[in-house]
Amino acid sequence: MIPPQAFFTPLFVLAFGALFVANYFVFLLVPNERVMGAVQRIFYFHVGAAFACYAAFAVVLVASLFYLAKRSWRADVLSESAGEVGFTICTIVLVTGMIWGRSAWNTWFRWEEPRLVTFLVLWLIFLSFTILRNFGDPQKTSVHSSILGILGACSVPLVSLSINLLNARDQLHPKVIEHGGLKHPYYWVAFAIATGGMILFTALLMAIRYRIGCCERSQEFGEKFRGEYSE
Amino acid sequence: MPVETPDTFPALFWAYTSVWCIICVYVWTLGCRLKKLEKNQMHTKRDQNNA
Repeated sequence: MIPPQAFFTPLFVLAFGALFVANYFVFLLVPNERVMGAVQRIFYFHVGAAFACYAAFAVVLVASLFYLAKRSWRADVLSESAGEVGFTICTIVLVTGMIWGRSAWNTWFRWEEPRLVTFLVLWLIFLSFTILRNFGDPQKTSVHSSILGILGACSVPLVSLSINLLNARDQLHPKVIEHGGLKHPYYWVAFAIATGGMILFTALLMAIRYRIGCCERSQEFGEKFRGEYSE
Repeated sequence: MPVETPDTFPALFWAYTSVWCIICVYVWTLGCRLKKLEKNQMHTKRDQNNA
């Protein structure tokens, strides 16, 4: 099913409404963190974007498995869209994390950190996925990138659990939620709205990209799919 | 004794600027794809009408 244009307006309003309210909380209501100061406000969108990219990679996993089982072109387009949008959001997580790390720990990146290294590997897998989708052999790209997408999505739990590989004292990346951080009630409200907003925004980008992908396939294969694409 | 909070506002500014830049670049690429698609569609329609 191709999302109709009427589907985009409510999603757009919801996503940008949530992001607007989240920005209001983050910049005007949430108090400054005592040790890190203003830079801690990156947290809300850094972690929210991480959840959103994990959700996108979960869509890649399901769509890729469905494509390999049924050879459905819709699943292939969905996997392509979710992978590309997930990679973009993943880049946001990586860049904001590096800027935060530079300010808080005085380093852009630390190779001894399991969370940072596994996340970089995840980013590289989806970079390869995007390159393969755009420049790969058209006959084999769908199968190859589906396998790569499954591999990438399966490495998400590794990123999530990697923080437990080392003792908390030996790594810089904090376990904010697990250690009962975010004491002020506004912290939680801002975090929940920012995460919801980022997930909705990712869903919006994915829906737009999916629609474009479907139309591209329609043009590529001409008459064969024309009937299926008409609304 | 109160803890002195460091001035980390420039890092916050650059983080948000980079987020918006990444989003703008991606939306721009989507716009380019859409434009190309519309152009191809126009060509196809013109060819069909000519035929």
